[in-house]
Amino acid sequence: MQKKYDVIIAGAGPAGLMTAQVLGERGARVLLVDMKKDIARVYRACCANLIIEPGTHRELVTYAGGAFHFAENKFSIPYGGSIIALKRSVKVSAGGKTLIISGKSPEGNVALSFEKEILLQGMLAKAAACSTIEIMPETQALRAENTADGVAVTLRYGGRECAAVSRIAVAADGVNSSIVESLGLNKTRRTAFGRFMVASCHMAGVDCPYPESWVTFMGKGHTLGGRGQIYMCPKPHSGAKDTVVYELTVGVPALGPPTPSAKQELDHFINQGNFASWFKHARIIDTRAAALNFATPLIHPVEGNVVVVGDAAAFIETYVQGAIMYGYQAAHAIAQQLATGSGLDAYARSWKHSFEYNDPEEIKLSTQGFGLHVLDDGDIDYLFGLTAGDDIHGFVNEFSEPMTVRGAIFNHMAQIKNERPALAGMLERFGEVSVKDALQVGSS
Amino acid sequence: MKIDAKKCAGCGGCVNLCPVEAISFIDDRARIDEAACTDCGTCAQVCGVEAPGK
Ligand SMILES: Cc1cc2nc3c(=O)[nH]c(=O)nc-3n(C[C@H](O)[C@H](O)[C@H](O)COP(=O)(O)OP(=O)(O)OC[C@H]3O[C@@H](n4cnc5c(N)ncnc54)[C@H](O)[C@@H]3O)c2cc1C
Ligand code: SF4
Ligand code: SF4
Repeated sequence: MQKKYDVIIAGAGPAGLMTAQVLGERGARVLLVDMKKDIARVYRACCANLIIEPGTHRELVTYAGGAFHFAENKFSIPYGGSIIALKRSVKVSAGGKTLIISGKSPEGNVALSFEKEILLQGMLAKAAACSTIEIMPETQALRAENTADGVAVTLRYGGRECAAVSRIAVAADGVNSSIVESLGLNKTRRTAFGRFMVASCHMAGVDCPYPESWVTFMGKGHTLGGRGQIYMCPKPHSGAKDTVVYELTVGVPALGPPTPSAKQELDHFINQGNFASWFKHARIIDTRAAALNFATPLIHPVEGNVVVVGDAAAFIETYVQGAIMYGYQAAHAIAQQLATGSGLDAYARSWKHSFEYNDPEEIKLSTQGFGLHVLDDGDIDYLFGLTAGDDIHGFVNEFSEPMTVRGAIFNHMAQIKNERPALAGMLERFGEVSVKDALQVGSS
Repeated sequence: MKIDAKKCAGCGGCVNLCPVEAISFIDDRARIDEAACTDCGTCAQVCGVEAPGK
């Protein structure tokens, strides 16, 4: 049967947009659907920092001359927004002690803060300009089913369901993908990490004593419920050009009442938290959210004629740059498959090999650093205090940063053993901290 | 369950987590088809800004 589309792509985030763009350039007939009305708008929390550490996803992504460059995969994508170079990663304990990591890139940066909406606008414009790509906004992908010679994707548009068929379908509908769930692939994934809820806001007028920094608030005393992660960093914001805008993000395990929600924690942190004085003159510009099941990655991202790309195959940690890179790789593999009948395996291999969390050892390494979260606030104050004046270098990258922090603290092990032997013992056992404890999803 | 459109940030998170496809995304906000909703509570549990409620 002649199909109207070669490829249906469910989801037009960074992964779906990149897949569409490359397939369009290679002449494939593409249907790109997204449930958003305004596809480039960003309503979901995302710190949108470019991770510039060499080797992240076996790639090195840099910014120069109005474009992001992917050195290993040898492609670039234009980015027309501004960049704020983040010079430091500053970990702040509940008592106000800091552990400061300076940037390790040639320019001395830990990461680059960009405006995701501008990036997506550019990518969407490129896809829209391609004559073989049809874009359907306000269209929800519900399910996909493999057929003998293709895929049937069930869509919901204007309250009605309809089916669209193609030779290949791409699940790029992000974390907790409906397509992945409908194919039964989540049965192969462990969801031991639990469910998380996130609330974030952009603010003008923040009196942050650590400019050009990725600030992480560590310890139980920052939150009402004693759990969760809080981050803050300056963001380029085209809606508020004449002032510095900060994004404050709170993520907490979604345990339901009486555990405070992410929004309650966000409000608490701004109004009554240990650093409420930073926000005395702050004005909230917008609020975002995110809801996610943290499941282990989908080790094999191809099921019949369906290819899973970006966060749909993981949790949120392919990052924007990984979603783009995997979109690029998947599109070339799909074009090859359409032309020759094989190609998807190459994509599956490259995903398995390059996405860090496919390797259980990597999960262990990052949770060893996260282990700090289980310490008492007094211990964190003490440990951060020891690092005052140290010259620590690294990147903002959750695959390596925990080890940078660990190394900085372990440098003082002789003193810790001497002064606080019990704490030294705990630190040495960090390798055994379970993922559950580290992410505080169990009961405390 | 109902979603308060004024509270909903439009993150889309609950849409894919609803086990019975009862949530649609309309005008960039989540909306529940109350006839399809089984009141399982998932959307309320995961929403960071407390938009779903009775
Ligand atoms: C709190 C937080 C902080 C983060 N910080 C960073 C960071 O600093 N740097 C970084 O690079 N990344 C960060 N990320 C991760 C980053 O947001 C993702 O990795 C990236 O957006 C993944 O891109 P994607 O295209 O795979 O999925 P998404 O960006 O999630 O895009 C999915 C698209 O599919 C659409 N969609 C979803 N479901 C359906 C459906 N059923 N039907 C139709 N359309 C659908 C959505 O509207 C969306 O447009 C962060 C994420 C979170 C939650
Ligand atoms: S999880 Fe909350 S903020 Fe996100 S779409 Fe659902 S109701 Fe809206
Ligand atoms: S309560 Fe459960 S069934 Fe009802 S909309 Fe929310 S997630 Fe879906």
